[in-house]
Amino acid sequence: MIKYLIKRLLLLLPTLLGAAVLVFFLLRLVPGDVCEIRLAGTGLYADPAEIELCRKDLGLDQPMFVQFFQFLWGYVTLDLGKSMWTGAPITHEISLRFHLTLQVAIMSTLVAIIIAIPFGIISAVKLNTLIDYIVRRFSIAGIAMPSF
Amino acid sequence: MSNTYTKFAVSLAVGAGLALGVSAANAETPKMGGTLEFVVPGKAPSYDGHIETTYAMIHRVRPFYSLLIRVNPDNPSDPSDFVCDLCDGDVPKPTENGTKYTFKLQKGVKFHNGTPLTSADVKASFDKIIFPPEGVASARKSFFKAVSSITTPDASTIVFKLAFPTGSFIPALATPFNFVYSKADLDAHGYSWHKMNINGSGAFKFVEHQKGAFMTGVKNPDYHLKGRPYLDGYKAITSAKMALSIQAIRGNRAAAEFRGFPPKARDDLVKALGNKITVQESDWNCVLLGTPNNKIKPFDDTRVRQALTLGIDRWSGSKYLSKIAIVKTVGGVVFPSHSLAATKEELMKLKGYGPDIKASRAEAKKLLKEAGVPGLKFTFHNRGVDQPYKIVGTWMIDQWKKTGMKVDQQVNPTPVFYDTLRKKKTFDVSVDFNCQSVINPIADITKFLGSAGNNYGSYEDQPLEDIYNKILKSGDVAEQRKLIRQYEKHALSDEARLMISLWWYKINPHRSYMKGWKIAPSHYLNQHLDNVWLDKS
Repeated sequence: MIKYLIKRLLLLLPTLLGAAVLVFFLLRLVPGDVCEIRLAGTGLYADPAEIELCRKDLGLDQPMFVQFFQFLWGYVTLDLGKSMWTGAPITHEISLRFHLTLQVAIMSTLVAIIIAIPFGIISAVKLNTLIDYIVRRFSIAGIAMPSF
Repeated sequence: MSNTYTKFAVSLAVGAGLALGVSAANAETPKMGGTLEFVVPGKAPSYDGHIETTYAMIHRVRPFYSLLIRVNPDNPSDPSDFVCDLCDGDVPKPTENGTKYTFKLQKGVKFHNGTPLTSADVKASFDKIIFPPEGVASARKSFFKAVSSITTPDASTIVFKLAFPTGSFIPALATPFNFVYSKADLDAHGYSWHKMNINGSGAFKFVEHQKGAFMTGVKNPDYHLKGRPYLDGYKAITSAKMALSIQAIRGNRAAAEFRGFPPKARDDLVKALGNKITVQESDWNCVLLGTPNNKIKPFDDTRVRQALTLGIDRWSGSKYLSKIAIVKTVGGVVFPSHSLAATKEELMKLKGYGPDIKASRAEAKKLLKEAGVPGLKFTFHNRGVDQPYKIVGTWMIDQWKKTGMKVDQQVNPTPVFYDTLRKKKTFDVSVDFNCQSVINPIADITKFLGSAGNNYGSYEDQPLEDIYNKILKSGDVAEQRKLIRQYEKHALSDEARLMISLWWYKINPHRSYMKGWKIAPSHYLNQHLDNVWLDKS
């Protein structure tokens, strides 16, 4: 059990890194400029020099390989960098949202456990009966429903 | 006799008393107290008014700060009515041939942390806006190109010296983003501090910001406008979608949304709530444009560009589109109700504004034939947002089809749209827009200059630049008006560099118990909330 837990925890690192690398490239390769949208997105005049200053501040004026190296180095040194949208440190942005996100995550997990475990037991005990079919349909409907 | 006189005097007194009583009842007296809740459909990257350009920041943060001058909150629809906020008395007239503005500040004003506000703070704020140190962003620095120095002879006086007189200075000063910061905060914490921190002198003090949820402010008891604010506080609720904003107002979870709704939303709210909803409407200082790519064939040919504008029936479009979209007024380069704007008669002399659309379209077809492109085929590049881009864009395509042109539409999501319009410029004709806060015609019309940073038509037009330079340096309103007509004719008609479709139209339905707020011709203006009160009786 402990071996399994350690294995799963170790798998967490490459998974997170893989996801971050994917997001890194997606953000930079998809057409569109976050500084343009931030400063000139509402139609108000934005001096091109200011847009360029914003790009410089976020490191977006650097060649892609330099940005990627800085990004990886940030992971090694636990410096998550700045938000492209707000310019504030990522750790600050996470801290603003962390407690509410944690609260929602815990509550939703608790609700899921309170519903899922009893229903799962009932479904197993009453296998292939009407009750089992109802529980299965309810479960599939819940999974299929879009999470707005 | 004395009896007659007595009777007459009594009648007069009763009549006068009745008249005064009725007047008093009709004039609404602000009520103190209550918390105003409103929705804000957008995200604010930071709290720093000097670098941000989004209304989402203004709606949330503006009430915490004061400005030197502002649009008159009791008359925000007048584009030239400015009043003092931190300054004392009236907005000063310039001296020294229109190059010197001396402001006297109100005494006893304090920041929310208790420190006194002096001319040094105002200077430090405007130095950050107009003369930012290298590497410090300032979104509206270019509005103040005429300013050569800012000095403070004493703690309650600030002097702006201009290199040349210009009518654009006062409107630029009244821009709602010109928050006055504490010099002590700038000195102690640097120029990035205000991105995440708030210490103003406005009507409300910052309480809390739950990102993605709401921001709250509480009444500032030391506010420099005595007797205000009327509210105890406000709560700006974040709303991701327009449908949510509408339902929030409908369900009385919010009193207002200050950006604006399309006509259908207004009609639905009025139908559902009747007199519980008040609707305020105004021309909006935003205009939807069509930008031909002047650099590529055949749009480098003036005749083709003229044909494009001739094909559009703006007068009919105004009538029908205003029922379904947030557009309405036919106008030229200047905000329609400004004194510098063209009259209807003046507009009708321009190509594309004539009263006879059949004649205009016949002329358009003739010009296309002369240019060697009869039945011109091209792609119209549009932004993937309904209001008003896709609606007006689809209408423009229909107008061109009626002129014998074959037009496809390429709709892109916003980031890709901006990339194509502003960076790659790989379009035939694109939708474009020009939105400003304070109506400042002399600054706003720079959009049509080929040299302007926000012009994407890819052209150089020295005659247009020359006319603009004369406008900028003219201190005489009558002369400015004459020059702006020349500018407008050249830009829209003779060379047809860009084409204006329609000016936007702002529709703000709000709960009737929200009083005091008056619609301004921009969603950036009149959002300090110090004159708003609630009457839920």
